[in-house]
Order: sequence, then structure tokens, then C-alpha cells
Amino acid sequence: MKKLLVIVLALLMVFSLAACGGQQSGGQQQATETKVLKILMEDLNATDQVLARLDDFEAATGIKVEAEVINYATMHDKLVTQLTASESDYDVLVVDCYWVGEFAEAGWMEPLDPYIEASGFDTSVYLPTMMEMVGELNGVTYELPFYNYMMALIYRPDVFADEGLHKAYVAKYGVDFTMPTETLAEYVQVADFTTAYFKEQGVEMYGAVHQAGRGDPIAIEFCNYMYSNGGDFYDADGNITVNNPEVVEALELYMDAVANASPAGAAGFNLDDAYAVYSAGKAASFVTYNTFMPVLDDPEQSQVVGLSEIANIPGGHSLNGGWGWAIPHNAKDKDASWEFINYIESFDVAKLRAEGGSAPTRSDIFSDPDIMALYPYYDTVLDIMKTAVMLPIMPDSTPLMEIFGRELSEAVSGNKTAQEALDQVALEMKDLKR
Amino acid sequence: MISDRRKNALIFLIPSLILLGVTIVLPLAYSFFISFFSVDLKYKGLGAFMGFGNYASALKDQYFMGSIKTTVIFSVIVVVIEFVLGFAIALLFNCKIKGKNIFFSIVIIPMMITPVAVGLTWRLLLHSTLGVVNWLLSFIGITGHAWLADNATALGTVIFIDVWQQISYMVLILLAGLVSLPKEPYEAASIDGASRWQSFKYVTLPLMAPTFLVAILLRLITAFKTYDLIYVLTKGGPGTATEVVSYYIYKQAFTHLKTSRAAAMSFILLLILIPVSYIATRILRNRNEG
Repeated sequence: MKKLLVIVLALLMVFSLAACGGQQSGGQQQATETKVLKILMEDLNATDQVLARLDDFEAATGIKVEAEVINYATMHDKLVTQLTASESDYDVLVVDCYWVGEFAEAGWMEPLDPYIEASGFDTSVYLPTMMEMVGELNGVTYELPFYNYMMALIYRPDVFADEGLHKAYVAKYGVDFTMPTETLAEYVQVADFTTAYFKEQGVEMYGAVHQAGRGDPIAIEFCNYMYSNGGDFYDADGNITVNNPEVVEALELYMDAVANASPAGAAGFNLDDAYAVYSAGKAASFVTYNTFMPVLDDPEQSQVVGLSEIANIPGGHSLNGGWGWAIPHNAKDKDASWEFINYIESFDVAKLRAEGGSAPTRSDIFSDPDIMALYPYYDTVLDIMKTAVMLPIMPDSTPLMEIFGRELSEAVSGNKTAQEALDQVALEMKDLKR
Repeated sequence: MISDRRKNALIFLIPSLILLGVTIVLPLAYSFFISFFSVDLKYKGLGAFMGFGNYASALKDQYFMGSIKTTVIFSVIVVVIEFVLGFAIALLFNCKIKGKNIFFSIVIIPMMITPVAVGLTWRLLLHSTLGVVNWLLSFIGITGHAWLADNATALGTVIFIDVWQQISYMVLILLAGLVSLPKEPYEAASIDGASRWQSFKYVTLPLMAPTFLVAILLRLITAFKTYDLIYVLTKGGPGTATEVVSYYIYKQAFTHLKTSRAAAMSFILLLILIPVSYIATRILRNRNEG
């Protein structure tokens, strides 16, 4: 009797464990029946504009969308673990432009062409640069462009118009300056001088603020310096050019600006840290995403409302960037996933999102009179985009940015010279798949 | 009778053994297996057989070896500081002080917070231009220091934050040890005319020795695996100044997607930790048997 009791108890423990597992999968099944789509998104304004449209989508289609909104830094790694599984928790993907090569190589994105054809979605409305970056790859459409985050120089004309600053600058260099400057070298010189000038005046105002923290922040920001100084990762023949003299010179200028124009600590700043300094009115210029213009003009998120202007990076080549919508290869209900993408990228919904400040990717939104009236600087954004350069689309672009970010951080923190750091990047790039 | 009891015990253990096998032994065995191949998360399958190639390339990797060095420096310093300060605080709590319970609650609060929240909070406090720490320091003439971005202070700052959070763990273990010490040796010492310092030196310290070792070794193991605090505070920067080995392995696995390489590095880390954990379990067992 005692033995029987023991066996029954043990079996009960085993079954209760099994039942726990069973309940979970039962829950998932129910979720699929009521059509709940899950998306992992970055915590920023473009996402807020999508979240604001979810109730309308549910009312129109009966499909509920649940967005998990997190910090950018953890997104890639969280997605990878889902995409390598047999079934993904996420039904729709938002993909950063430099993950495209990696995700396509791994087969993690479902080709969208059959869905586009079946629903008659017109992809020609997108800016060609956006389709090239977060749309098509090798003739297959994997994504629809979601929003652009092309970088630019955001600056404070009121600070750079300071009479005393100009007088002192002329006294030192014999010539005056205009912001934005023509060349990168001149920009760094003006930014350094501005910091020194205001320090002397007892005012806490930095000529520039940088996001020079290790990893993605410094890698992304420095690309603007590299491209504007005529450098790149590879040449047209695929040879590694990241340690060429023009890139070394760009890095030396960047190191100079981080050390002398930015506040102490910029070598550890991420985007949030740098934005906090600029939006608190303590910096006069900031190489950052054009999507921050509406945020800087929002009194709830900024103390410098209406004071910023946007321009191309001195030297003329900013980093182009953007996000795209895709369907994971292991999504449970791909038709429902497409229904959502089709809805959120339709003209009317894209316009509503753009009105809220989500940076457009469709040319018909850019040319819409209502949108242009709200954001007159979009003319400048389109101009900058003409010469903007995108990161190489390659299977190993994520490791490339990680290596780049580590070595740039070594340089700005004084452990290596610009040449040593870039030589190390070039050495490790030989092992990367292009 | 004994055999029956054993059988019963075994039957009850089976579910736990299955659970442990599935969640610990199988993944460990599988990761050991794949450490001999070239698994890349982008591609299906195991890739080419590498033999000990992943182990050899890890040992030749200057950044991996550098991260082990940083981890050893970090772990030794945090454990020494936490032990010395933790023991001092434990001794204070072992005395009769008014409002002891309130202070004790305050001391253990940091242990209750997740390292990510601790990291984010300190990141804001230490912001070079907008943070409270530099604002307070400006009153004594120290202005705008970049605590987490300066090579000279980054690792030290991370160590300070880790000590701030983890010291309560040390206090708890050591205080538990102090409270459970027998009274008789102290009475004997006082009859023999020992001073307070002498009974501390000749009674407390020797009796506490096994607790010291366990506390130090357990904390050393957890310090060696530190990851979350680095991830939030510095991402290993500036440069590689705060890159600890767990963070480096994580990057190999989830950024470079080199799963086999990361598995080989994890087993090298395990080889370093096994002797430490072996000594700790031996002491614990001897103590329990004693």
C-alpha cells in the first residue's frame, strides 16, 4: 500500500510537470485562433506612431497586435534566438538596415513578392534608396521600408551666431566661419573653439556632443566622418579600404572632436546620454538621426524647442539608414503578418504616422503638402539623402560593426592611435563574409 | 528496510533527475559536442569538424585572453573589498546596537535589485555633465570627470558599483556564521583572562575560517561570471578596459553568431572555475560532516 502511494505520488509529480508544459502550448494555440500578432520594436517615436494605429487595425481586421517595446541594444540578440527556433514568438519583424545581409543569408526573412503580387501593393512609391537598403536584395523583396533614420548634422544657429564667438574666432584664425562648415576639418575646429570659448565665458555650452561609447553608438556616428572625408569600408572592387589615409584622417578628426569639443565622458556616451546633453541645451551641434528633429521640438522631451536646424554633414556624405518590415520564416500565420504590413504601410496610415513625426520612406508622403507644412525641413532631408551612403549589406555586417565599434573606442580612449585601431579592423575584416 | 527507503528515495528523485538532466546535463553535453565543430547560427547544421581548433584559436585570441585577465583583476579586487568591508559590517551587526534591524534592512536592499536596474541607475548618477555624482563633487572642486569613459577609472567605477550591490551578500553569509558561533569558547577565553582583541584573534577568526573560505569562493565564482552590470554600464569599454570574459563570450555567440567558438570559450572558463567550486564544495561537505 505504502509502495503504491509512493509510485502514485511520483507519477503525479511527473504529470503535473507535463501538464504545465501542455498548458503553455494550449495557450499559444488559442492565441493563433484569435489571431494575435507579436512584434519586437525599438523604444522610439516611430514605434509610438505604429502603436497609435493598432486599435484601428484591430477594428478593421479583428487581428490584435501586441508590440514588445525594448531598447535597441538588445534587439538583435533577442531576435536571433527566436529566428533560429522552429517557431518564432514574433509574427512580424522590424529589421535594421545592417542586419539585412545577415538575415537574408540565414533565410530568416520570408520573400514578400508573392504577397505583394497577390495584394497589388505598389512598391514603386518608396524612395529608391530605401528599397535598395531595406526592401530588395538580389532581386527578392524581403521587406517594406518602415522609417528612415538617415543621419545629419543637427545644430543650434542661435549659439553659432554669438557675436563674441565670431570675434574671438576671427582673432585666432584670421577668418570667420559659417555653420554648417564646408569641410569636416573646419567643423571640428569650430566645435573645439566653441567649447573653449564658452568655457572661458563661464557658460556650460559644448561645440558638439558625441555618442562615442563602445559598440554601435561610436561605429554608427563615426561612419558619417568616414564617408564625409571620402573613406569607406570597401572600394568598388571589394578591397578593404578601412585603414586608408582618408579614414585615418577622419578618425583623427573624430578623436580631436570627442576630446576637445564634447563634454568629458562622451567616450562612454550612447545615444540617450548624448541626446540628454543636447536637449538640455548644453551642446550646439550633434551628428544624429534626422528622426530626432520632431522630438527636439516637443516641449515634453526637450528644452531647446524650435532652436535646431538640420544640415548635411560637413564634407557631404551622411550615413543613410532605415528599418524595414519583414515576415519571419518561422511565423505562425504569414497571411496575417502580411495583412498587418500591408495595412501599416498603406498611404493613409503611413501619412498618419508621418504626421506624428515618423520619418517617411515613401516619396508620396515626402511630397504630401500636409506633411511638408508640418515638417518643412524634409526638403533638406531629401537633399541630404541624395549623397548619403549606406552600410555594406553583407552576411557579417553585425560582427563588422562590433569590431569597428571596439577599435574606434580603443582609439578615442587613447589606447591606440587611429592607424593602429583601423589596421586592426582591416585585419579582422579579412575573416568576415562579404 | 534500508533498501526499501533507498528505492522510495530514488522514485521521488526521478522527476528532479529528469528535470536536471534535461535542463543542465543535456545542454552542457550538447555545447561540449558542438565546441568541436564550426556551428554558425546563420547556417543550418554543425559545419566542419574542427577538433580542438576552436580551443586553440580561443587561446590565441588576444581579446579573449585580455578579457580573462580583466575578469581575474575584477574578481579578486571585488572579493577582497567585499570580504573586508563585509566582515567589518557583519561584526557591527553582531554587536548590540539600537535600530540594528533598520540598518540591516538598508544594507541588504541593493541585493534585492537586479543588476540591470543597478547599472542603469548608476549610469544616470554618473553621467558626466548631468549626473548627481559630478554635481555633488563640484562643491569640493572636482568637476566633470568621466567615470565610466576614462581608462583610468572605468574598471574602478564598475568595481565600486559591484561592491555597492554585492556587499550585502557577503554581510549576510558572514553574519550568519558569526551568529551561529558557540558561546563556550568565548566563556573559556574570558575565564583565562583574554582581552576582547585576543578573543577576536584566537577564537572568532579560527572558528570563522571555514565560513570565510566558503563566502570567498562562492563570491569568486559569481564575480567571475559577471555580465549584466558590464552590459549595462560600459559594453566592455572604453576600448576593452572593462571587457570581462562572460561578456566577450556572449558577443561571440550572439553578435558574431559563432556558437562553436563561444562554446569552446565557455568550457575554458569552466575549466578555470571547476577547481574553485571543487574546493568550495569540499569545505562545505567537511563542515557539514564535522
